[in-house]
Amino acid sequence: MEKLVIHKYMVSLETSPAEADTIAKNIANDIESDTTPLIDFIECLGRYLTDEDTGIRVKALSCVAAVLSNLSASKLNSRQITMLSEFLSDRLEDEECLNESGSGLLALSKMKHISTSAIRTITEALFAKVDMNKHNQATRYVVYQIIDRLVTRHIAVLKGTNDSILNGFTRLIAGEKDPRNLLVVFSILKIIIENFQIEKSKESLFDASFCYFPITFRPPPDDPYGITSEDLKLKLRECIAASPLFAEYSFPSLIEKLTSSSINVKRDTLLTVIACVEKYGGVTVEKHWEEIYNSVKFEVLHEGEEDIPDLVCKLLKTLTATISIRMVRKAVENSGLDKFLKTATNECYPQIVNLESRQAKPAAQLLAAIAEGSFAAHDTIAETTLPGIFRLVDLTSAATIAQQKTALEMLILFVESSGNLYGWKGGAMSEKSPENGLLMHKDTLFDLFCRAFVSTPCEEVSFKLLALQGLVKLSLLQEFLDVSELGMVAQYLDDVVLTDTNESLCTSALSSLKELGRVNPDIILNTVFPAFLSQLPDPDIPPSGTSQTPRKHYRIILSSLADLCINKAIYEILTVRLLNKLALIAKEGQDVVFAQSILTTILLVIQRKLTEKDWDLKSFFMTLTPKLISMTFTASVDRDQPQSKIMSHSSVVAVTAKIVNLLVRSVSAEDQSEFAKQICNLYITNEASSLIQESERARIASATEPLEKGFRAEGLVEIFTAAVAGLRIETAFPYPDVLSLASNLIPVALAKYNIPDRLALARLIALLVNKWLSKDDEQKFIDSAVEELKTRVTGSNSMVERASSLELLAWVGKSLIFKGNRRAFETVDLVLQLLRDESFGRCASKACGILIADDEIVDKSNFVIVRLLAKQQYFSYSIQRIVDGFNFSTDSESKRNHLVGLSNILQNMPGKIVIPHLSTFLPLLLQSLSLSDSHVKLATIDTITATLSDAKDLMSGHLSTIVPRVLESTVDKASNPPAVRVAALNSLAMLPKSLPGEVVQPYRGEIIRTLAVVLDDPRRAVRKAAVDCRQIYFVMDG
Amino acid sequence: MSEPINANPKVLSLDDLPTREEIFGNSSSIKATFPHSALDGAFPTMSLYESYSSLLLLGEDGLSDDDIEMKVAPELSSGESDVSDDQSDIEEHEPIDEQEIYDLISTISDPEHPLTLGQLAVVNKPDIYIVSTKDANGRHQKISRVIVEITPTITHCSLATLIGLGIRVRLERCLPPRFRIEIRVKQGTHQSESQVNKQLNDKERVAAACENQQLLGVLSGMLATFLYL
Repeated sequence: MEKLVIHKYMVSLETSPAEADTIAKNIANDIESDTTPLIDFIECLGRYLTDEDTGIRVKALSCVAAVLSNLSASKLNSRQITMLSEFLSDRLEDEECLNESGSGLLALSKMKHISTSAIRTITEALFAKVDMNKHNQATRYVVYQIIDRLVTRHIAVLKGTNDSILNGFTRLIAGEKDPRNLLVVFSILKIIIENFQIEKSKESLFDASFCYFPITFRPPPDDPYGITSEDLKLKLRECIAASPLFAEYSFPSLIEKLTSSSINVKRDTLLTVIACVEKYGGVTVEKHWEEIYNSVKFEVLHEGEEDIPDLVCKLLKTLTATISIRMVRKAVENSGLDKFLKTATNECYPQIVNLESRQAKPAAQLLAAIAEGSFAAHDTIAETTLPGIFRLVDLTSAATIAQQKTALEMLILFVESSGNLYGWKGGAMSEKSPENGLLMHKDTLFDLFCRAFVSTPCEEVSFKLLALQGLVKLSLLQEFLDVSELGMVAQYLDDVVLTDTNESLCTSALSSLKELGRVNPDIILNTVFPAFLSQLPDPDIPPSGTSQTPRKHYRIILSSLADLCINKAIYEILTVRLLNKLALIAKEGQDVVFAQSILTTILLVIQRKLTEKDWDLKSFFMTLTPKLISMTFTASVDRDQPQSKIMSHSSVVAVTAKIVNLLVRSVSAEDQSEFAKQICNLYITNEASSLIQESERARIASATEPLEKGFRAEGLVEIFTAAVAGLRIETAFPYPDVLSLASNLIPVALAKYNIPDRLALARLIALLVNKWLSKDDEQKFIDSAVEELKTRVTGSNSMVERASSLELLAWVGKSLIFKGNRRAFETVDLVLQLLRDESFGRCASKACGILIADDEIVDKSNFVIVRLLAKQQYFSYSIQRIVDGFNFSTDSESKRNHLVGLSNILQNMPGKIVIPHLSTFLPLLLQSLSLSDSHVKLATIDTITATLSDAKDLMSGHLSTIVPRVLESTVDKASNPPAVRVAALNSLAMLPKSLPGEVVQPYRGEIIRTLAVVLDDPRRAVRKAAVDCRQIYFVMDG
Repeated sequence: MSEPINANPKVLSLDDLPTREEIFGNSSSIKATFPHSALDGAFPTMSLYESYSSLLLLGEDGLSDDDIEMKVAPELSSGESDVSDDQSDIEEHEPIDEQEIYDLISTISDPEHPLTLGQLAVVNKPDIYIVSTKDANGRHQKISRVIVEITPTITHCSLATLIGLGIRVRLERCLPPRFRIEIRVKQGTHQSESQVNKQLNDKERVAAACENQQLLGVLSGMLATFLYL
């Protein structure tokens, strides 16, 4: 060990703290490895430690501290620590070096072998020698950390020096204001208060803590320590609540703070009182209930601000719970609880039963909060208070509807507090509760809510809602209503959903049914389903026009049923019953829309559950798919018989296909493979398929032919397409030669004239090309099939053949664009050229959209390959060509087709792709505003609206063109349907929000003036949009 | 504003306010349940072709009229088919009724409570009258009158004038100019009824009030609720 090292340290401390740190670490390592004995190190420092020059002393001590803090905690033995502590404690007198000697002590205080005497030496020296007022906050922080460390680790040792610690510490912290230091101070205080004999100095300790209350600290914006006032509040609260000995000081002082006008102080105070009540315990709190209650009750009774009444309720609940300890069912005569309950009841009850009182509900709220505190309080209050409220609602009472409503609200408050205390159904109950004290009033309560519900006229919606709410709350109480009563409640709710015309009543009844069903699924199965299903039209029973109240539309019933599918079992049963119903009406063959609605209901629940991901749908896939396919095919081959055409009706098949698609794609590749084989048997090879009910297999196979040969059964390709769409790419396509299948399907598609089959075949070919064609096959397919289609488009004499070929070409093109095949743009080129074609341009303008449009089948969700930049590539490829094509066009028809083509593309592009090119095509966009085609106009206005805020400068420059044309569209009713007028108004309304005020300002007057005309539009929706748009211009700045 | 004049008014529940009756089966909950285009196709009024028209070029019977220029298929081009319900739009006229006036003014905020005039029952649907005279042909004449009677929460409410002014400004901004607007305090609900009525329907005074910047600030706060956007 050389003095040189020490010198180096002391020099570099000024020039490079990092280097000093390394040197200290090296010294520490040497000591750690016993290369340098500790004593040598101290001797080397020797005289520097006591040098006359303060600077040198500081550096020397800093070296000691740095080395000590780099030593491992168990290196130094007890004797060494004691020696060092004595030395450093001695140095505490040296005020200039406090930070350094303190840091050394802090390092020592963390040592494992620190002795009792060292601990005492350090603490006594700190209290005796340090005057905190003379030091900055960083130095004080070091001192507090030493104490914190010793107090948390060595409390047993320090307890021996009880009084000196108490006095020393309170003296030490006097005047501390720094938030970071206070956090440490508060946590030390809490430990001291909880562990030491504080009887003698309780007042000074309380004062030491409470002098900081209330905390009004607001952190500075660049606070390096990230301390919030909430941190401080919590720590201080713990100190104040730390000992019941504080009660005599804390409650009066806190109550005094409640008179504060600041809501934050009130809130903090109430939370602190709650913490005190919880921590002090029943014996102490019992002495103070009266002063607490009297000082807070007004906040509830006179409806204080914001959350204050709620906090008071929480306090009263905690207070009751605390003083109810050991009184399980009943308040002991003359106990604090007994007196408390009597006082509160005597005060609140007269308010509650007084019809004229405005404080009735607050008073009930206060009592209900107390009742929530303990079983004893709850049962006593239920016994004394409820009968009075019952009388208010009694039919013979003089109460008005509004007053009865208040009474119901009060009862609900009590039922809620009962539930919170005794437990709700389905809630987590830690222990078994005793019997609910509300049970003695059960019949009256139940009767009363039932009567309130049944005998109130329909117009009193909010009254009925309250009655329903009460019934539902009662039903949800743990161990309260029995099965038959629950059934009654469910029936009332059923009736509302099935017959009532008020929407908010129906919605709330339906969600109540769901809530009931969640805790008691049998209710839904036994009561709700029969009631709902019996309301569905039944072909066996002809509708009797006169008998009862008019039925609601079956769609309402079906959508309610879908809502009620809260678990898988219920859904399974619903599906079975709905399919039975479906089979029944399919036989009768009347109502296609009804059949479709039933299937839509099944679809809807599957969709919801798929997005929520909470059920495994495999079992539905296994049962429902074959069943639906079988029903459809059976109906289809019997198509000639009029009664069986429902299941094969195109609109029903559409829903069936969607169900099949969702179910297929929800299962794994492994589960798909057998299904894939069977569906190909059915459609492609025309063999018997296990998807068809056994008795029908042969008949169906003979009635159809392979898909490549035209299939014969009309309108059913959609199901095959949906199924193939759902297959994962990993699922090998069961028909090996996909290339020839796809090519062979093209003539089939061209020969079909019914829309569903044509669309289904177009999608099918697109899917096959996208998902299962290899790179080579793709090229072959383009060289042969696509080229042939192109020839038909350009060469055929038949307009219809040209159009149907272009249609198919567009779908194949879409599939290739998605897949990222550059040769797809050969097709795009053709389509763009055709825009100029006099007679065929309109078809081409539509094809522009088909090429890139999002499709529900040819979509990522069906495992279709969609390259990230597919849309962008298509857009940047076609936009300039369209703009040029437009500029070169001479006739108006060609111009129009380019504009429509552009509009069809824009409708399918996300804003972030469009905006960079906006300046290229904005002139075209503005021209399409004067087209008469309202689809194009709508799309154009929507594009302008959507791009306003992203292209501020560009749009601002063209306002003089945009505003007059859009404004014109709001006024001219003849050529603009309401949808366009509303879109135009919304677009105008966006201007002040998106563009700088000074740009829009010049148009303000004209817009306000012109819109006055629109205020008289024949359509209400347009008028509403005009009103709001105008309002925006009235209030805009400027 | 210092102490509110009526600190504890009676408040109506939102469920009890009058609303436009939803057309049966068209309510929002049903729309939420059957959002699907599949169902739209089910309506007999809608031909299958229309739901597919953006996906295909050909209709059921070949090319649709819109896709071929007129000279190619003149017999098919019966007219421009635009947004689907175009035809019915022109015929369907929804006149401005009491409910619409109510919707316009019931959403105005009260100057001293965070509640609307509808909730405070200051404006009530039965107290709104639209008077339009018919000419000899039975057609409505152009000029109509709207009379709104307001019910102050308490009989000495000094804010009645301000509320009335708010209603007037809202209606003047939101109704076409052919409506003559009259705001009155409902009979027997205010101490100085005639005085307030006179103030509210005096053009000069209303105009003068609207020049007052501070008053205008309070007013735009009351009118800051939107109906539609």
